[in-house]
Amino acid sequence: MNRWYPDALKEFQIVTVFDLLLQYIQEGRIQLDKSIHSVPVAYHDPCNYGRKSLKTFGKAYFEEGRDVTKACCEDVRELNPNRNGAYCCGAGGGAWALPYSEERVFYGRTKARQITESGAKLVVAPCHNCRDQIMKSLNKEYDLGIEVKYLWELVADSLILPKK
Amino acid sequence: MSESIIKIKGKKKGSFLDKVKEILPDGGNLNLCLTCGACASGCPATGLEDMDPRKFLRMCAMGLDEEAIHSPWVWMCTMCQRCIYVCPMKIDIPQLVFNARAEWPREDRPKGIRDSCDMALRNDSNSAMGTAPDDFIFVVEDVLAEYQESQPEFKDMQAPIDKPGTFFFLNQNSREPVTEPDEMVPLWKILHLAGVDWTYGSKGWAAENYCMFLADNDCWERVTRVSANQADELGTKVFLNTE
Repeated sequence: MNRWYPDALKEFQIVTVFDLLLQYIQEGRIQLDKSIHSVPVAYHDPCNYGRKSLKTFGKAYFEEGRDVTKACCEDVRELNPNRNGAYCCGAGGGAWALPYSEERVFYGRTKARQITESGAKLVVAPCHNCRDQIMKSLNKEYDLGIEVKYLWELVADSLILPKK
Repeated sequence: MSESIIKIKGKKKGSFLDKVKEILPDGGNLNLCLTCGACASGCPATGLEDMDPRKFLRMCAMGLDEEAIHSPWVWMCTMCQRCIYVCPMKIDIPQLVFNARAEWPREDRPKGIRDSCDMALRNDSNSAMGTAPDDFIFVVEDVLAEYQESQPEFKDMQAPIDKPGTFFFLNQNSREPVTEPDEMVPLWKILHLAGVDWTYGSKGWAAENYCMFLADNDCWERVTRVSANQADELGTKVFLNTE
């Protein structure tokens, strides 16, 4: 955006849900209870918010999602390789609307292996496609026995309600 | 070293690779391949349709345009861009794949993804599931009322649609209202507790854009403009993209 549309950036402000959640947590506008999710948790890096964001907008969201996850959970583990080297879950590029579901599941085998190796019982997937692929396909096809949550779902489920 | 350049006679047909090189910044480095295979070895789509990123690029470089472009593999690669970063020459193979998708006649592109794009063009929702604005409004109001009632601690929670002048304009993937409406609520709760002024739009509320994946650039732009216009018309300050 900086490179191609500097004028548009003067007029419009773009905010991601990562920035927003992190800001609310850091400012103390929302309070989180870490005891709710006590199982081992792994954070999955979606291509869209990492590599693709880096290439298109010049900024990758690798740490923000982890920081939010760590604010909600004690035992946060890594899927290796991760961040810029993370494997795609297999459902990107419009795969959910494509007729190649067997190929999509085969593609996801590396992600499934990473999850098994991490020992995580809960996987946090901030992206829609990733969440559906891991929760509805990989979990079943590769017997992962895990729970999958969106990042904001994790935050919402960890919220401490203010006392009236 | 020879001092004169050898010119090959005969008119060469413009290749697919040359065409894509013209579109991409720095030509996508498409002619810098060292044939090392790092892209293919780290690609989960390697082996599908007897294809991999290295082979795909080499075929294009060798002029096997038809064979490469029309391999169904271009729809199996997720364009995740991992190959770009492992490549010593930072070659943009995913953009080559995207442009190969665009070479397919629209009617020959896989039906599911074409339908998802067409659905989004059907009404002002932008929804790949064809959900009309009225249906979206109904589901949101229904789910909100249910939570206000069943969870007294959230009885004051709001989920406004077309509220003018709010700070955030929020969009929403259609899969939630259509198949898992309860999944809309977590974000509402966070925004509620953080005391945020936000709204959905009755037009352009759907966040997904399958026209992009279909490689239909005109429709991609059209869908995006519907959302942007609605955010603009309502006088919202910030477009909060959830997709």
